[in-house]
Amino acid sequence: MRILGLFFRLTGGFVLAAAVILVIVSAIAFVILKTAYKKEMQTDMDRYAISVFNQIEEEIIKTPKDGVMDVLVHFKKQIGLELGLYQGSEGKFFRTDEKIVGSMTEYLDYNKEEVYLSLRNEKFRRIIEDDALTYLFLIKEPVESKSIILLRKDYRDLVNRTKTTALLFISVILILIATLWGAAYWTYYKLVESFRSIEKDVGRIAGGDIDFKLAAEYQSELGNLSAPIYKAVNQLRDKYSDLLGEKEILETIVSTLQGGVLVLDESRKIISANLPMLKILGSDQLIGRLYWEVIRDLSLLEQIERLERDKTHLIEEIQIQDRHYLSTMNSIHNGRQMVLIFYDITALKNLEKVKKDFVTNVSHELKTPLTAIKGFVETLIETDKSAEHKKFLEIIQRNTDRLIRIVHDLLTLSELEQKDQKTMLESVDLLTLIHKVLPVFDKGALLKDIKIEVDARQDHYRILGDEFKLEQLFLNLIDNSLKYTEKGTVTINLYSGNHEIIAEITDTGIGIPDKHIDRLFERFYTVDKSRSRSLGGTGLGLSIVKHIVQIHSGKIDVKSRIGHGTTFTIRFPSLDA
Amino acid sequence: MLADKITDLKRTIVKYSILVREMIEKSVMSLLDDNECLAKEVIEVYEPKVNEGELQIDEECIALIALYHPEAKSLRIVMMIAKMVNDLERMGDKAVNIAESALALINKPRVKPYIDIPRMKDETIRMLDDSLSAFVNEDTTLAYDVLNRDDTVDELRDQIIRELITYMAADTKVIDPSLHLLRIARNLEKIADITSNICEEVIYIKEGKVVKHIQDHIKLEGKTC
Repeated sequence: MRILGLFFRLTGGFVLAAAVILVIVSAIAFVILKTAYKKEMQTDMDRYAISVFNQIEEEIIKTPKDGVMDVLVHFKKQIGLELGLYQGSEGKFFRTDEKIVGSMTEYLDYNKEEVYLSLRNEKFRRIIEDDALTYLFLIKEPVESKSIILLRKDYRDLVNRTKTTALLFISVILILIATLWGAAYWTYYKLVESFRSIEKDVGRIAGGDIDFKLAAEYQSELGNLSAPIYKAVNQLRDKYSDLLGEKEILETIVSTLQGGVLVLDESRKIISANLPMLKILGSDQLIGRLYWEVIRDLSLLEQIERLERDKTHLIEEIQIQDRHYLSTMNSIHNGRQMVLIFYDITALKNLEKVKKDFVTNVSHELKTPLTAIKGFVETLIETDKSAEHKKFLEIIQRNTDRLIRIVHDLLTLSELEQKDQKTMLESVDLLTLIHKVLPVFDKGALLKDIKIEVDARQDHYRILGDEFKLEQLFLNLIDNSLKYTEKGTVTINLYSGNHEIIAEITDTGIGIPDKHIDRLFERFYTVDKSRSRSLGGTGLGLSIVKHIVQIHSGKIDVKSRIGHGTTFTIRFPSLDA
Repeated sequence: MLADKITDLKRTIVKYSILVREMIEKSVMSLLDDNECLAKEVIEVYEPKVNEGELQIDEECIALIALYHPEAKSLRIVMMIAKMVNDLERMGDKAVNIAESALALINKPRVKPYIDIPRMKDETIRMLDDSLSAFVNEDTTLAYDVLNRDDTVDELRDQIIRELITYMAADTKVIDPSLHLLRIARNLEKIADITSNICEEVIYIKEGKVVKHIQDHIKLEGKTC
């Protein structure tokens, strides 16, 4: 149907125009033909009428008055024309046909004199009517009779002949048009067939079926159209099979991974999950479901929501039921998809715990004997008068102090590292706290001639924290700054912004080389071992600092330039926000 | 648009249930592990969160009804979530009761070894988990199953009561801790009861059939499932 519709739209206009032209041409031809026929007939009739008239005239003259009608009938039979006789003197009218009466009687009545006058000079008078041709002749003898003979030739034959010719003409042309139209349709049909074939193939391609043999190769113009399509399909097929292969490889890799892999799509439905992931989430059917329908762990749900919001990259340790996982979460395609990977680190965690327990226990065990040693050495120093002994004893005392500090720091650290332990957090004003801490350093600063300055615009910087631990944090940081600064100042800068309270501790000391910055907060890590030892450092101070900051949900950063000094920046969530 | 909003609401209620589930788990664990911190966390951290969450979800439900005029199933779901949040908040209150009693028992000599209480807790948590799965998946088979399991928790509670009465009759000194244990058992049983409410709602959503207050009926149907 659609095809026919198109065909009619394409050719209908032409055919209609042709038909209109045909009608006009036929009408014109009809008129021309009719005129030509009429003219030809007039010429013929003129000659014929004269010859016939002479015979009739002779006969009429011979015949008595009452025999006139018979003569007329006789001649009508002979020549096939209608005849009439008008006897002007008596006003009588004879005729072989009714029609001659109608128009001619009236005509002759009105134009009698004029007709007689003209007929005396001419042989005959011709009257042309719509449907007939009438000739008038005057009978010469006897002159007074004023008789006129009428000869009437009907036109109907002529009209019929013209009509037939015209019809024939129209028929021929109509047949011609129909034939041409048919031929056009046949060509068109063939063309459409080819298009249909291509259309079918393209339809299959659109439906995703590209794995088929090409149905046909097309010649001519269509070939130009179809060839690139089939070429494109071939390439597509190759690429598709490549992709399939790659996908298979990827799937194999993902399924053989030890870690759990979870991929979420834009609507946050799970589109991919491997076997370990099924085990982690304790569900046997994940694909196609919304993530929150299957994840029954609050912290994981919150992390996914955070990822949804921030569209970034998260690496977090997470505990699901009794197992620990290191989860790497990535937002890809600008947040449209998410990839979550879980590594089981329970074994590592357990090992870490064993190590920490060991350190804690050893430290505890060391603390008691060390206290005893320290006490007795102090007593010995006081009682022993020998200078040489005193020197040795002082060395013992110094090293014992150092050991005690290390043990103390280790204990503090392990205490901080115990995650289960809940610190009681309360509102703490950092400014008051710092002022409370500073007097400890008065002596040391005075000795080295270093100024300690506090720069704060507001009266209060309140955060939620543990006062004792925060004191330790600032003690460690300021102590560090003093240790590594020979001259200049140590500045403590407090300010708030963006729901945070920021504390900056800046010194003008020796600075830290870049390569050490990353490892600065590790346990027992010291930049310069010999210097650290001479200054009495344990290598645990910054590690403790980092843990205290973590307990307060804060962040710590270091910036340093060698020879110019170091800045530690700590950010705490503000309580006033 | 409405479908999206309902999905969001569902997500919020699932998250809320997980919060309550953790709360219940921690309240019982504080007793079993003698961990005072956990009990305090339940009372001081979880309880305010759960209360706040209830108001928030309630408001979201009302806003959704006012703005989108849900009909038929959508309306049933929104109404169910509004009821569910109420149920869950009540569970939270029960968990606080448990934590309070746990605080009274922690680090004191145990009246008896805790054997049935952990079993009761596990069963209750499993019921809550399953009712949540039934809700998320609109799984009525699971919902009927949970309804039938309510008896197990009831039996465990009765067993604990019987046992404690024996102890109390023998030694008047253990009356105080025994009463606390009793309170814990009864609250756990109540939590299990409220869980059945959620399952009944699930059945109502899916089948449009009210199965409340016709316990025997449910059992018959449940067995055929």
